[in-house]
Order: sequence, then C-alpha cells, then structure tokens
Amino acid sequence: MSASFDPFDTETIRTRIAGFIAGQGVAEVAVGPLRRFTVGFSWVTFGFRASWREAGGTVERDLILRAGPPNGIFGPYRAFPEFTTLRALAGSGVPVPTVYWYSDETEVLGAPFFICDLVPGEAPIPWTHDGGPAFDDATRVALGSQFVSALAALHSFRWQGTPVAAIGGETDPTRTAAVQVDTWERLLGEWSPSRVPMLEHAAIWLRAHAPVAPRIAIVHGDFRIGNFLVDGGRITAILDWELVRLGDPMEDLGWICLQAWRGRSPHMCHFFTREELCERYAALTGAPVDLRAVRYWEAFGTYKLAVMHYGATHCFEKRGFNDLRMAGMGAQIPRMLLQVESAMERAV
Amino acid sequence: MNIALERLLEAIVATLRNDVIPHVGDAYARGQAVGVIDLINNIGPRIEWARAPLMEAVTEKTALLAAVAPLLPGMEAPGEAAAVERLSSAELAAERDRLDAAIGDALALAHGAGDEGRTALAMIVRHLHDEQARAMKTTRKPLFAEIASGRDDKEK
Repeated sequence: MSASFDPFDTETIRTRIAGFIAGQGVAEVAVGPLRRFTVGFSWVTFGFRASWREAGGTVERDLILRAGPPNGIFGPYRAFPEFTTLRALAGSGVPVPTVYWYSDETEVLGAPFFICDLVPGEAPIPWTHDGGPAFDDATRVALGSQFVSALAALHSFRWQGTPVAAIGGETDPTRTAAVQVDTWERLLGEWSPSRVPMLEHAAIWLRAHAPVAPRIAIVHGDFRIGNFLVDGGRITAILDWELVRLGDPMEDLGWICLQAWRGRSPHMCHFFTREELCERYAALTGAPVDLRAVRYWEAFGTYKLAVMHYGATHCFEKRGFNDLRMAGMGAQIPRMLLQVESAMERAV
Repeated sequence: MNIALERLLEAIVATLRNDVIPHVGDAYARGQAVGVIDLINNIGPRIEWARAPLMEAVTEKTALLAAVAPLLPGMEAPGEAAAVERLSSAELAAERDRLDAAIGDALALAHGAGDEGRTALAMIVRHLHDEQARAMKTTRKPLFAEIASGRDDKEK
C-alpha cells in the first residue's frame, strides 16, 4: 500500500526510514532525529545520524535522505537514475557522496528517495547581493579549475556496460537535441494553462538548428554554481543529479553559460569566460569543442530554465506546493523570456 | 504574473501563519505579522489584477493578428475585436490567452512560409519582445541572494 509523504512529519519519516534500513541486510539500526534542510526547490532534503551493525562491526554515519515529493516541481520522480549514477561515479574524478540505499516504491515514504553520506561544505550560489562576482580572483581560479575538471571527468566516464546504461536518455547522436526539446515542450504543455508564443517560437528554432552530438555521455542536467559543495577551498561534492541522463555532453557546457548563473559577472558560473571554459574542457577531455554547439545548448538551456519557471508556477498554483519562492519564479517569467530571445540571437 | 490572486494571497497568509510567526520571538513583531494577515484577508476581496496592462495586451495582440493574417494564407481570420472596456480582469486574461493561442498558430505558419511569412514572423517576434519588455517595467529584480542567505541586502 502506498504511504502518503508529509515532509513536516519528520518523526514518521524517521520511523519508516529506520524500518527500511533494517530491511537492507543490516542489524541493530538506530536513526536519530531528522532535520530538514531548506536548500533546493525540488527534492526534500533531511540530515540525520544513523548507526547499524554490518559485517561484524558497528557503522555510524551522518547521512542525507533525499525524497522526491509527489507535488514537487519535476514530480513524479525516480531515485534510480541519480542513485545509480552516483554509485557508478564513486572513486572517479567526479566528487560525489557515497550512496547507500534507494527506493522508487511509494510504500515506504510515499515518495521515491535515496540515502547518502552527508558531505561537508557550503554551496556557493549564483546570486550575489550587488550582482557582482561571487568569488575573489584566487578562489575563482582555484574552484573553477576543479569545477571544469569534475565536468570533464563526468563526460569522460565510460558508462557503456555499466548500470548507468539503464538510466535513460537519448543515445542516438542525431536525436539528443530534438528529444530534449520534445521533453521540455511537453512539460510546458502540462505546466502552462495557456500557450506561450515566445517559447513556441524558441522550440521551432531549436528543432531547426539542432546539432549532432559529438559523442554520448552522462549529462548532469543541472551542472552549475549552486549545485556543488565547497569545504576548505575544495569542491567536495557535485549535487542535484535529478535531471541526469545520457545525452550530448555539450548540453552541460551550454547550461553553465546561462545568464541566470552569472548575474553581471563576465564569467560563466562566476568562473570563466565562455572561451576559457571551452578551451579548458577541450584540453581535459581531449575532445574539441564546437562553440556554435555550446551557444545552441545555451539557448536550449535558457528555454529549459524558462519552462522550469512555468513548472514552479504550476507547482505553487495547482499542486499545493506552498513555497513562495515558486511564486517568485513566476514573477520572473518576462525576464526569462527575454533571455531566451537573446540567447537564440547569440546562437545564430 | 499569471497566478490567481486568490491563491497568491492564501499562500502568503499560510506562509506567515505556518513558517514565519511561530519563529518570531518578539511579541510586537509577531503581532505585526498577524496584522499583515488581517490586512491581506480584507484586501483580498477588494482587488483584482490591474486591467490596464491586460487591455493593452488584448488590443495589441488583436492588432497584430489583423496585420499578419493577410500575409499568412491559411490563417484563420482573427474575428471581431473584443470590447475591452467592458471586460473584467479575468475576462481580459482569458481573451489574452485565446489571442496568444492564435499567435502561436500564426507563428507556426510563418516559420513554414516564404517572404511574406518572414515578414509576418518578424512582426510577431517584435510583438513578443515588446510585450515582455513592457512587463519588465513592473518586474522587480529578484531577491534570490537575500532569500538564499536569509540576510538583508545591506548585510555582508
């Protein structure tokens, strides 16, 4: 039977998670109180301390529970793609938290979820109080280098023959862009009660200019400032893999270049100029980067982000997700639509 | 801003009641927050979304469709213009949405047409740009930095 997910009822969640962990082949499970993190617009995140006995020893960990609420912006969710990717990337050049368990069934929490280690660090955000740079120059260079190295490692990961091959996405290089445009156009149709001519115009343009993917890689889908942790000058984890799938790696490069992630800074994600980013990425992967394709994916990413704003509005208005940040995103739709238009103009 | 005012005000009240007031330690500040709820409850039934921008949108979209129709063979005639002065905000919003659907259809035709299609497309794109540029005049800079940090803009 399906349980109902109430993110405010942390005691029920704690009890159910303890029972779930006990069913994973470990003994003497103890789960401490849950505290909810306010980060993120989509999955609900809780931290807790847990212990259990395994292979004759006691394990004690600070853990994270991530649950995809049924009324969340991208619901209904699946934990499988994110969990499988994170597990596969353990020990690679991509810093990721260690993952333990997941479930896509609704019997446990009423929502898909997974459990991973709590990774120390703070998440720098793209928005600054004065719209200026997020980092001083030394930090920008140091973190920027790690940021692009992590992306290059992700896109160089040999996913073929691993469980990642089953996470979904498009593996026909001639179809990666079209499938993404179809996906986000369908979501716009679900989320916007009225038609949005500017985005219809963009979708026609994106289909007409779709590039062929140079190769198929794991695409994070939301690789940017705001979605990694920094501790002691090191990027300790890349977060928020909910949009992960197989596709054109240039999509992640284009996403990094969105106006929304840099404010008035000339640096993509507050790190590099567009050209520096592509040069460094090419040097690390050994694969040349077509700047036109990056510009295309930047235009697509801006379209996708605009559609997400409609998703946030729908979530707030129709799905009872009572987070005023969602309504705030709805208020920014004119800004987003103008950014879609200018991103297309730059990409021509 | 396309969210129904009723829903927006209901959520503001719920946020104050559930997420803010329980965490305000000062009794006067708590009372003021309840005062905001009281005001919203009384303002709600008396307001609607501003009519002037909606009337302008309907008028401009109607004019655009009339202008591009001769350039796009196969486009359905836009029909008689609505008497915008007599429509409520909700009716104007519905008419705007109906016209946007017609503009979307015209866009699809214009993309597939020849020289006249290109002229029509340029007119439509200009309209879409101007509409959003106008909306930006009432769109305030987002407070994402302050929301994310929980700190006032002037604090560092």
